[in-house]
Amino acid sequence: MTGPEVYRRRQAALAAKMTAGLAVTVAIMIVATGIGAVDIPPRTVLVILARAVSGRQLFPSWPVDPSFVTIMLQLRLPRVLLAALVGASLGLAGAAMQGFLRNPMADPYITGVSSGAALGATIAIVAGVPVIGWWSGSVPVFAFAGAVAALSLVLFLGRVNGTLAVVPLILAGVAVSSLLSAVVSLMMVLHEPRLEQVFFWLMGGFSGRGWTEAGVVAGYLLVCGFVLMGQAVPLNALALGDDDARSLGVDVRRSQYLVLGASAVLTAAAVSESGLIGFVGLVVPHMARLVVGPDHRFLLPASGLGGAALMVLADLVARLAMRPAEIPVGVITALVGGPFFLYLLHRTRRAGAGWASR
Amino acid sequence: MSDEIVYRLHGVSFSYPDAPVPAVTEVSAHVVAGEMIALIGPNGAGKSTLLGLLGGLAKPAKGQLEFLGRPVSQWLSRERAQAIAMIRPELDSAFPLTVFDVVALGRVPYLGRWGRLTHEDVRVVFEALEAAGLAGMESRLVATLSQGERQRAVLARALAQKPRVLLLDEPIAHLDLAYQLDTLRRLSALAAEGVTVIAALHDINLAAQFFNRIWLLSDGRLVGDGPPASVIDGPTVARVFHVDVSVWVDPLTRRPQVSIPAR
Repeated sequence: MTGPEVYRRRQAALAAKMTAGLAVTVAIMIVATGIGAVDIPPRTVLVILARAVSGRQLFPSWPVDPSFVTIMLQLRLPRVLLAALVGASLGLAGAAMQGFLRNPMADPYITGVSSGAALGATIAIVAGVPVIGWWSGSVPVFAFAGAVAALSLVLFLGRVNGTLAVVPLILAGVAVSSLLSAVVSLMMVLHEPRLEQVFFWLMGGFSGRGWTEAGVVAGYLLVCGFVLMGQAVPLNALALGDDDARSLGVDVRRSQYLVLGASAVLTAAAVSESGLIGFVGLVVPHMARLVVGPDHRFLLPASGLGGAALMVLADLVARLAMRPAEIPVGVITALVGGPFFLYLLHRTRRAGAGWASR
Repeated sequence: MSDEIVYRLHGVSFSYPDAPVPAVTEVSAHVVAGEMIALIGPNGAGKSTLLGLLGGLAKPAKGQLEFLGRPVSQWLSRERAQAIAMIRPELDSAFPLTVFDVVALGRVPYLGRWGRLTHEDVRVVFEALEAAGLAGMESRLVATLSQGERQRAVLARALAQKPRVLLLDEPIAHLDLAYQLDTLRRLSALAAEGVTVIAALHDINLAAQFFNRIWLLSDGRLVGDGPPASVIDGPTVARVFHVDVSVWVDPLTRRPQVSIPAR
C-alpha cells in the first residue's frame, strides 16, 4: 500500500470515529433526558421529541403520558441540552486555548474569564439580583460583563510591544484570577446571608435553567465554533512556534486575537449561564487527543463532542447521586476529572513520548 | 539555468526596537534564480535578521528589498509562503505530532479555509518525504526522531511548500559529518533544479566547499560578496572573527579552507 492510500484510509477512520462520537453523545443525551425523579423510557423520549419537532402527532399508536411531555419538554430536555452545550463550549474552548498557548496545562479559565464571571455573579447575588434570566440585571448578564472585563484586563497586561506573548499572557491570567478570587472571597465573608447562594453559583450547575439559557449558549457556540474551526489550520501551524507559522503564511496576530477572543467569549457565555465548572476544559481535550490525534481540524470538534457527553453524564450523576438533593456539577467534574487527569499524566509518562500518542 | 533576478537589495537596513545599533546596515546585492549562497559571520553579525528580512518576516527600516520584482512587504503572506520557505533547525511542539503532520504543514499556504488536504497535497507531501530521505517514516512521532531525522523532517516540510527560494538558518548545526554532507548534497541538488538556496552557516569550510557564493556579514554590514576564493582570505577572516587563522587551498576542489592553530 502506498503512503497516500494509508493516509486516505486513516482519514476515513477518523471520520468514522467522529461519527461514532456524535452517535454516542446523542444516545447519552436521550437516555439522560429519560432519567430522573420520574423515569421516561428512551423510546417515549424519542416519540415526544419527534412530535415536538415535527409539530404533528407522529406514531399515533404509541401512548404517551401527558405529564411526561411536560416534564421532558419543560424541565429535562432544556437542562440536558444546556449541559451538553456548556460542556461542548468548555471542551472546544479548552482545546483551542491549549493549542494557542502551546501548553497542555492550559484551560479555558486561564484568561481570567472565570474569575471575572465569578466576581460579576457575586456582586449581582449580593445585590439581590435574580440568579436566572437573561434580561439586564440578572446574574448571567453581570457574570458575562465581569468575564469580559477580566479578559480585557488580562489582554492589556499580557501584551508586549502590541503583540500577544504566551508567557506574559499566562502570568497576567494567573495574577488577575487570584486577585479577583480574593475579592470574591472577601465579598462572601462580608455578606454572610448570601454566602450559600454565592457558593452554589461558584460550584456550577444546571438546576432550574431552561430554554432561554440553552438558547443563549447555543448562539455563542454556533458563532464562536465557526470562528474556531476556521482557525484549525493556523492552530496546527502555531504548534511549531510563531516564526514557523508566519513563514507558512499564517497571519499570527490575527489568528491569536480570533482564537483567544472566540474561546474567551464562548467560555464567558458558558460560565455565566452555569457557574464555574472545572476540569472539563482541561481534561476533555486530552481525551480527545488520545482518540483523534493532535490535528485541530479533528481535535476541536472531538473536544466539543467529548465535553458535551461528559457534562451530560456529570449532570446526571449530580441529579441522581443524592436524590432528592442535588450536588453541584462542578463537584462531580472535579471529583472525576482530577484523578482522571492524574491517570493521563501517569500514562503519558510511561509512554514517554510527548503528551499522548495516536 | 535562467538568470532571472530573484532578490534585489538596495541599501537595506533594519533595527530592532530599543536596540542601540542596527542589526543590518545598508546591504545591497542581487540574487539570481538557482544560486546557492552561504551567509557567514560571527554570532550577532545579523545573519538571522537578514534571513528574516529576505523571508518577509520583518520589513526593512530603510532601503528597498524586492522579491521577484515586487517589494517583499507587499506580498500577501499566503502568496509569499508559496514562494519562500524558511527553516530553522529546531523542531519542537507541545503536542505529539507525527512526521506526516509536520511535513503536511508545508501545504498550509495552499489550503482552503477548512484545511482539507487534496489528493495533490497528499501526493506532494509524500514526494517531499521521499526527497528528504524519510520515506516510510511518516507515522513516527517527532519526539522519537534523532536530531538528524528531525532536521530532515524540517527540510521535507520546506520542500512540501514547493518554494522558489529556500532560506535556512544553521541547517547543519547539530548534525554529524555524514548528515552534514547528506543535507548539503540535497541542497545542491535543489539549487541545480533552479531553487535559490540561502543558508546561514557557522562552518566556513563547508560553506567554501559547497557554496558558489559567500556573503560575509560583520556587524550587520555585507563586507564580502563573491565566490569563496575571493571572500575568504586570512586577513579578512582574522579581522571579522577576531581570531588568527591560516587559510590554505584544498588541492582537490581549489576552495579556500580555514585552519585555526591551537596555541
